[in-house]
Amino acid sequence: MPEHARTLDEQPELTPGSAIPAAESAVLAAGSAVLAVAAAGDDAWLGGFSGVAHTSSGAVERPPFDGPVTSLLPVADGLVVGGAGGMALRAGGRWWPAQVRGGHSPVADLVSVPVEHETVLLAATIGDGVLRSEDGGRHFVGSSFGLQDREATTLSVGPHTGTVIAGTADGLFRSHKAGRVWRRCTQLTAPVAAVAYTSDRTAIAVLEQGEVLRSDDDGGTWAAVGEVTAGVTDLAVGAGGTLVAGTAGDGLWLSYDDGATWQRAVDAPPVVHCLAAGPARIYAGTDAGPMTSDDAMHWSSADHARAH
Amino acid sequence: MLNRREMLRLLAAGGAAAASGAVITSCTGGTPGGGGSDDGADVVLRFGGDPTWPFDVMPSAEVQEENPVKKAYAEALQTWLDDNPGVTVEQVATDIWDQQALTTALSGGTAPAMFPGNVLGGWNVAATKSAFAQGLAADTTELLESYDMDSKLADYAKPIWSTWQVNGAYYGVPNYFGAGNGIYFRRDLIAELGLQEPQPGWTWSEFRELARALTDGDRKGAAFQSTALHVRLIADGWLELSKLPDPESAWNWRWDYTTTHADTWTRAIEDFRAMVFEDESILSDVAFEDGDTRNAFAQGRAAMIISNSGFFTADPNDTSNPGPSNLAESLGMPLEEVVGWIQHPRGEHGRFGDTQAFMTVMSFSPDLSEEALDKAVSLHDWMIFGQGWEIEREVLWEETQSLQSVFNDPAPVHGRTEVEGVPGDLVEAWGEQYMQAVEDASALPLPPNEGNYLPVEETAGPALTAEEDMESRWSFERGNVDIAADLANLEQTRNTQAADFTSSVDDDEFAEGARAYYEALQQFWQEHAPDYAADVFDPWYEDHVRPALG
Repeated sequence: MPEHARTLDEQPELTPGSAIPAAESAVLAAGSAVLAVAAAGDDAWLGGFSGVAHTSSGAVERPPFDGPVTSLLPVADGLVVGGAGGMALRAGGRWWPAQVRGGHSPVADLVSVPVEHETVLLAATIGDGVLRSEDGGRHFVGSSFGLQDREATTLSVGPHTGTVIAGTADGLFRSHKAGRVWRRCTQLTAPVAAVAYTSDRTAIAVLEQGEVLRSDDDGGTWAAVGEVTAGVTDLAVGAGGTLVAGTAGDGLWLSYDDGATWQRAVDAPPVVHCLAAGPARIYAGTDAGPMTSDDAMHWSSADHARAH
Repeated sequence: MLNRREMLRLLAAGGAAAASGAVITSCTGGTPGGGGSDDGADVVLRFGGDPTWPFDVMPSAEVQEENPVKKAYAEALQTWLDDNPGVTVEQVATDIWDQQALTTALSGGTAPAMFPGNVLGGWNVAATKSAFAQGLAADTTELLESYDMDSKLADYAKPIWSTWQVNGAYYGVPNYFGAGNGIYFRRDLIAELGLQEPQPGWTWSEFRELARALTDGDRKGAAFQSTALHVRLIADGWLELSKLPDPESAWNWRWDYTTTHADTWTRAIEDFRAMVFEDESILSDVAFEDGDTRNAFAQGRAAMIISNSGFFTADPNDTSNPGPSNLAESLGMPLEEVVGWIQHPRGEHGRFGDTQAFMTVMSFSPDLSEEALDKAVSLHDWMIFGQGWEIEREVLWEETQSLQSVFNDPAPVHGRTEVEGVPGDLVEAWGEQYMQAVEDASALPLPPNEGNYLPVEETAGPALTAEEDMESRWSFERGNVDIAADLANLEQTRNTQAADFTSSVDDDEFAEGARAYYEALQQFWQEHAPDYAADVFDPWYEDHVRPALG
């Protein structure tokens, strides 16, 4: 393992990407789907069919891979972007195609895991399991030892333990070694739609069929606590521990009691692809473009850029 | 309503076709598909892959001028198109080499017209046949007869082609024959060091010695793909000896890595690890794939690599894929003095099986109309077996005056080694050592494949993930590795996984097929590897397999 995260200047083998083009026209067609969103302070990064945009500037940038952007992760150096056809790093004013060994499956989720003096990045993919990077997203290799299914849909990192929980098409798995090795953490084998830590050791998992599970021991054991509608696409944790679930056709749902009961949010479009919680607001990527809310209950269209 | 997993898969398979508008509603509505379409008299054949496979779309005049291979292809294709008015060829963005992407496209009706059928089963015969049985490829039985394809096959290709029937039907056409995988080695270095060249029948012990002797400074004796340990284990029977038929269970199989041959696996793994960590004669890492080892060989960073027999004839003009010819050119020496090829080493008791001839099956989208399917088969017949192949050879000779460019396939599926108008043949193109090695490998008897005896399994079954991951750990984990504990862990994991699956095959039919398979396997080893049969297979068969099958 490297003693420190290498900077881009220390990576002579990295293929230099194109410089980011000058700002383009901000607003794209209304109703354009936002497939990925990541909070960046009070703003957000948005991803979709045309590329990536930041809500503050509105300029749309095209990552160096084919297909839409499906996952985003702000990192110290910049932004890691995952898509249906590749991965890339946006840093230092340039795009860098990520070198991915282990497959080219679509990226469903991206997380960073603090490990001693460095940060490991993990990507959940639909078809190649989990990919792992130790150099800030420049190179990814397969890291699925222990997973029983290569369709990994969601990842969540324990805020203090660093435990990583992966939701897959074959249940829940966890890793205490930043994704090097995975162990099944429940006999459950149903497909998992989303997972999120709500506190140091409490995590919530939502199955594709709508069942809600909770673990209070860092993913060791799980119990069914409630049920939300089927078709959940993402889960976010808002202020005060409010759970927000986006769905593929039934809008947004909230829970104020750790998943036991749920109520529908107001003015949310039916198809929600992704969620991201920032310090002051929550962002949702929907088929109607980016939406935002201060209280998770009432939603409105985000102001600036729409990344198509 | 698609869930997010399904949507992401569709985005990967459909690419731009799924763009614009509401994603999930458009996905729910489906995308217009089929690898070909008829619009009255017009047939459009769509090919996927990048580069397009199996055939390119028509190269531009500019590309033809720069590349004689493209020019030769264009002439052959245009001749066929002239004879088949109303047919056009297009490219689609489907990764036909990715099992998941291809299967998704076929299920969703968006697959290209032609694709490598083997990909459907992840290059596993039984799994591929299962995919055929599930209707993921068009039935070509009648078209094979009408194009008389059997008579056009080389004698060495006929046995393996006949094994591709599924319940009496074919779901593709013969596309490519390969003599199999083996070891490339530096003849010049071996000669310089006064060593002996490997010969058919050599062992993994001899490989280790040779790798050690060839390691010098920055050059390693060999470069391995991340999966090389699997090759080593197969030599000792890893695939056939690590599982037992279990008709009483729901899945019909159980895995046994610990009670029957644990010592064999342990020795093989320790021997492999010794090459890597003690001898330090191996260049490899967890991400190494074919391209990495080939580059290492071509650049002189490794003196041996594992690769298929066809790599020898890699186009020297394709700088993205440097091959033996590029290496020889860099050394200023004739190819046959620099590079040799040999079938894989044998296991402890003389067992072989790593080097096996294989055949790529060209399969066709089940959504093609009758007319489009006929046109697709016709094009294949023309370009692979017919005048299209001849036209390409003739043009290549005119443009390059190079026998290697003309005869770029060491074991052509039709067996033709010369072409009228081209002064020279396949042996003259590539040299005697290599061609003899290919001939020897092509002639190796094929161990019975369980996919040809057991009823076709229609359930996908447990993945190989656990085994692959464990092999990776054994290959790359430094320090002490508790192989016994790992084997026990692997066994438990695989059997736990298998418990979640129910075979689609009737128990009695399974038992009957399994008896036939193991009897054939026993006869095979008794005839072709008698020491392995006597010391390993026969006792295991009598003590463990027969009782399980009743």
